[in-house]
Amino acid sequence: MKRKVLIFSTLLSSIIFITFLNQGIDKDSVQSKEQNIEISEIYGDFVMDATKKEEVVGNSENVFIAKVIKQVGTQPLNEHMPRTQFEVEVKRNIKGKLKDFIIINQSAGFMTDSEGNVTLVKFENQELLEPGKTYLFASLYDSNNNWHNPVPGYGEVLVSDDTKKQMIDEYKKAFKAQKTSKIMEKHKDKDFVNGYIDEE
Amino acid sequence: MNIAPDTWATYEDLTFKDILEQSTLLGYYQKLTGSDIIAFNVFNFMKMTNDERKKVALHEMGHALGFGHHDSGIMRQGRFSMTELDEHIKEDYYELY
Repeated sequence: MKRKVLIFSTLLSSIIFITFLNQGIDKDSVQSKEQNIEISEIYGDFVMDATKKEEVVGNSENVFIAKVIKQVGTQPLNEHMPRTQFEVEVKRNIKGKLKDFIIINQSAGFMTDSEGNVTLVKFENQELLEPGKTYLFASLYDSNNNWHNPVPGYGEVLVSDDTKKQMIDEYKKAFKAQKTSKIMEKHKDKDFVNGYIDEE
Repeated sequence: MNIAPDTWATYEDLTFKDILEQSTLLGYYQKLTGSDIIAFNVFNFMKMTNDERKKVALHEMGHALGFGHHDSGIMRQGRFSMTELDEHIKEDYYELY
């Protein structure tokens, strides 16, 4: 009898221990998944109406399809504006002639305050770039940093195998009808393919 | 419009600052814990007329007041001259406040 009680007690203790252990693991897992990251959204105004493709293309030096290889830096613009740099492999040019591997500087990223709170700072309609995924970029070359600044959100569009062909056709069409703001004409060092077509 | 600075009794709600980035960005509004920020991109501002700059300033103030983008008036994206508030944003203002 004593032996049966001992076996029963051992089994019961084991079940209770495993249950508590699992609860602990689940709790940690849920906490890590639902880590409360605050999002700080930025509302920008651009040289062009960024919702119109022909204006985004017209005010970009380069429009191209590229695959994100890896994150290579987190150089912020200022204390409140993080930026994240990615190495990307150019797959196809729609406007301009880029090749091989270049750096994309995304105006978004994580910011940690003095108390250790993490905030994701990003523009409206923008998602952080993900290594392994392919995007259509519309960008200006930043000669000070030797990287390319895409239009936040509107110039960093996720491309899937299903949408790739349609997207290339749309942006090629937008390139033919491109509209460039006169203000970009004043940046003498900028190289806009096929000159300028102003909106006014 | 006057923006009240920090004093012993009040806390500044909005800070204006310049940024320099070779991009198509004219300016932005960023909501933060504490003082929010409106930033103007010197890279493009240096090439703009005063009235175009005023449009960007009014546009970002609109965001700070809680208005989103619109396809006309001061809340339309893009570089153009505008120095007065349009009817649409006035209507939005009276509706929101």
